[in-house]
Amino acid sequence: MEEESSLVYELQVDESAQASLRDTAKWTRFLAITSYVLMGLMVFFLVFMFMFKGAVSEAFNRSPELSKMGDMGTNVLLSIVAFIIVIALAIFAFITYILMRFSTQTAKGIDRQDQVALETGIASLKTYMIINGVFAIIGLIGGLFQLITIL
Amino acid sequence: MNDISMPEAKLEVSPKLRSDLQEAATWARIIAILALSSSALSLIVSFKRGMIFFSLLSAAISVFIYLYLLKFSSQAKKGLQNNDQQMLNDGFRNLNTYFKILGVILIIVISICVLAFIFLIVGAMIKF
Repeated sequence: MEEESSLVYELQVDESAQASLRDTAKWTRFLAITSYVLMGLMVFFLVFMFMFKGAVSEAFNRSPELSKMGDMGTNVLLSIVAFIIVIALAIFAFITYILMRFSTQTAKGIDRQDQVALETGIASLKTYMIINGVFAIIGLIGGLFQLITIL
Repeated sequence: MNDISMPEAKLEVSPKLRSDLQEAATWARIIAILALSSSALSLIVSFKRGMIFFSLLSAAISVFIYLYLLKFSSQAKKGLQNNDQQMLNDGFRNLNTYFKILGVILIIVISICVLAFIFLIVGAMIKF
């Protein structure tokens, strides 16, 4: 059985690879948990902003440019900020979920020698890399625009 | 008991794992190259605008981080193509280092934020 399988799959996730992956899972778990905490802070900020909406519009009114917009303007501005925060939160939450799934599934796969869990973990790593790649593309386009405006 | 169950429970680079890992490595390379280009761009922008120190620092950190991601990408790909176990293991080790550095940077940033917060509170308390 063992010989047969090693003929089909020449590469193994051997002890050295398992040790690396287990450690990676530990660090990605830390990153994911910290991200969840940051998201919690963002939600707190959002709630805080709406609870003290009056104070925020007052602060806006004190600024000469923003006060020109009036109450309607501040409401629109607040809604836009809230909308951006909610969208950012949703994207952030999805990325964090994928990273957490990589962490838990990979650790489970190694600890229980579960091939399916390990495959799910690596598939999550792939998704994580793809999402980050898309953001890297957007980031580079943003950087290019910045450069164009400066030159 | 352990001896009997071990061969069956061995983790392998199955076709699904192989293709997922290959794709992850491809995207890791894209991320690394784009991120390095982005930091080069921001370096150029900062030369025009000032704030060179922070840009140099962030560019240096980016090079340090994304070099490991680039190494993971090339080693994992080579390992999978040539069925080279050692190369694949090196790739996993570099992936580990990449996430480890991200974690350490996060710890440093959080520590700075907490310290700044404490100083702010202490400063405000001294004022009143």
